[in-house]
Amino acid sequence: MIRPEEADFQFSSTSPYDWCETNFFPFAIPEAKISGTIYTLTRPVLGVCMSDVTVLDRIAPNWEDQLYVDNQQHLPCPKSLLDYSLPNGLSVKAVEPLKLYKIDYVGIDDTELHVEFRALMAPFDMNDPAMDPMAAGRIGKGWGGAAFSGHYEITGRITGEARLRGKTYQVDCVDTLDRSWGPRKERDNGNATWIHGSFGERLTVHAFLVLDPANTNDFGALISGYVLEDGQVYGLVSARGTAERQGIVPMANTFEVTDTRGKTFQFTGATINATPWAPFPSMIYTQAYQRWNHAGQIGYGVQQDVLSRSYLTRNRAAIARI
Amino acid sequence: MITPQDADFHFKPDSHWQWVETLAFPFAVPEANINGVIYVLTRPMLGVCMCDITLMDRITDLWEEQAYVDNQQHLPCPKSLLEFSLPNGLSLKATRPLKHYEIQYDGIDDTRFKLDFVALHEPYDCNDPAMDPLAAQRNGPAWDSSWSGHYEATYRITGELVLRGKRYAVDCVETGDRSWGQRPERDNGTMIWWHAGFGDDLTVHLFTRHDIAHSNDFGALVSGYVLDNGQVHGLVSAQGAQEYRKAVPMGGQLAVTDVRGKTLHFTYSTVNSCYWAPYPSNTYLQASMRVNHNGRIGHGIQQLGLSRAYLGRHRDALSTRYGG
Repeated sequence: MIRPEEADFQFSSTSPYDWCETNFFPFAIPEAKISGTIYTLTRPVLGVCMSDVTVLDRIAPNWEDQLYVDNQQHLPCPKSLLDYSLPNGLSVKAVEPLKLYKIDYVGIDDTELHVEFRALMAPFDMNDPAMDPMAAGRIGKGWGGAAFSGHYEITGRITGEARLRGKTYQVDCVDTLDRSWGPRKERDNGNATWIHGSFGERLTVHAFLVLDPANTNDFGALISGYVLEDGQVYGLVSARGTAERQGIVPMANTFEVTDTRGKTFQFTGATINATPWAPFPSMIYTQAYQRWNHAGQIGYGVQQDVLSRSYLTRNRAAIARI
Repeated sequence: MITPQDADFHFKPDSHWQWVETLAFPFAVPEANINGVIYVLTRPMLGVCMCDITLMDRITDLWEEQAYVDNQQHLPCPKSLLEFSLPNGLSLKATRPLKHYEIQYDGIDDTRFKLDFVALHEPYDCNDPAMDPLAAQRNGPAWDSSWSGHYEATYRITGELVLRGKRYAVDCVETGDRSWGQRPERDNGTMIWWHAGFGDDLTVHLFTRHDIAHSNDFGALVSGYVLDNGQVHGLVSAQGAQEYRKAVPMGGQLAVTDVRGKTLHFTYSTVNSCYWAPYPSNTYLQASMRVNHNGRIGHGIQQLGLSRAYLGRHRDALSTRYGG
């Protein structure tokens, strides 16, 4: 179970230099085909922090073809994750840790974000067997070895305003954040897809699955996931799906999950914006924002395919054939 | 003038947290169309260090389609730039600072190299008016505030590369650089860093401005030199233009004139390239080139420094001008 104090740093005086703590907040304006990421990755033992603000609005093979990119790798690490401001113009305040966050960003080129994230659920602790039926089988082995010593997701409603290159948009969406802590290397991390779709506040499905796109379009084994339905969270017990790709970018999906109740949900997804986002260069987080269809309901959410550049270069011949 | 002390850190206790000190050592195996880059970017005030090892062998847009990529942003900063080892497997020793470096790397996937970089001349100090005829009029740093100090050096590089299990002898002439000063990570100025070597007796290096969203022409010359039979001659002018596919330069022509009044003409074509972005705020579109100078064939690199701020701001102009 995740406690409010886990919204803040978890490192200790004996943590290794590659100890990593992250803060990830998404937002979207689906009607304008816009989705955005506000991603902070800290290395508190080194005293450094990466901050990325990327806004996507098209399917493009290069990250820099997107609407807005501000990625800074070497910023001073904040003292706390509960209330911090960075020199790139980002401020995050946990008004109620794990429940309510206020996020402000003032960038360049007449671009600003002012949004609130209000949780619709208690954090989903992928390492808690009482919450995640998949946890017992893999405690400590979530993804990338020890990178997820601690990890949770929260689905929330995000509201506010985004001003993007001089154009103002109202933000009102349901999306899912996460936070991780633990040692994290920067080479040859494991592959995964981090995928979710939200259909208003009533239904969100989120899953983490193994991925090996050099060899198969199918998603691999389920690592963790949940259904948030009418305010209740149910861990996933199985999931399967497949993605047709152009290069490594997923363009069309089928996806099916079954939760602890035995209830099965089926989806198809179409990519409406996408890019090989690489907030830290050792990894590609191919970010493909999906329009999902579940039994006639239309929802939105991201498929983020996490692929190391080690994997991609090692398998470049196979991937070129996709 | 660059002194041997300039090979090591320059930061002070009151330096800004954005203070950067870099080392760049390129190398090549032209007959196999392989170009390598060893790039270390330290932020000593933050105690952090980026190290990039990239090996390129084809023309692609995507960095990850190249032969080998190992980029780690958050390594502990070494205590000295004269001799250090990083957790990614890179070791560097300045056997004779500015003149001779031994560099070794043991990576993954049966990839490693052991190289000697022996300088062919004294470092070229772009901020010294006695060396660079354009220094005086610049009245300060060459590129943003990041080059409080900066030099280039052309090296003969020898050794061995093992790339995914295949061995290559390395014996080439290439040009590296080193910078120190405060460097932000957003909206840095655009720049072309271009050089070609034709054996030990001739290398041309230059830095120019550019504005590729609006023009195919090289912009104003910032700094450069001709290394001609062991003598270095600063450049006084350069003119050129190149063809692009997307933002990637594919070929072009260039003329440079040095302080002797000697003008050298070049045409060139890209033999491998990608959107290299050793730190993500800036793409350094890296195009390795086959260069023709009066029938003599040489090899070199151009790096098109393009901030992602510039690329995002001009994405439609770039797409219209050069294709998406």
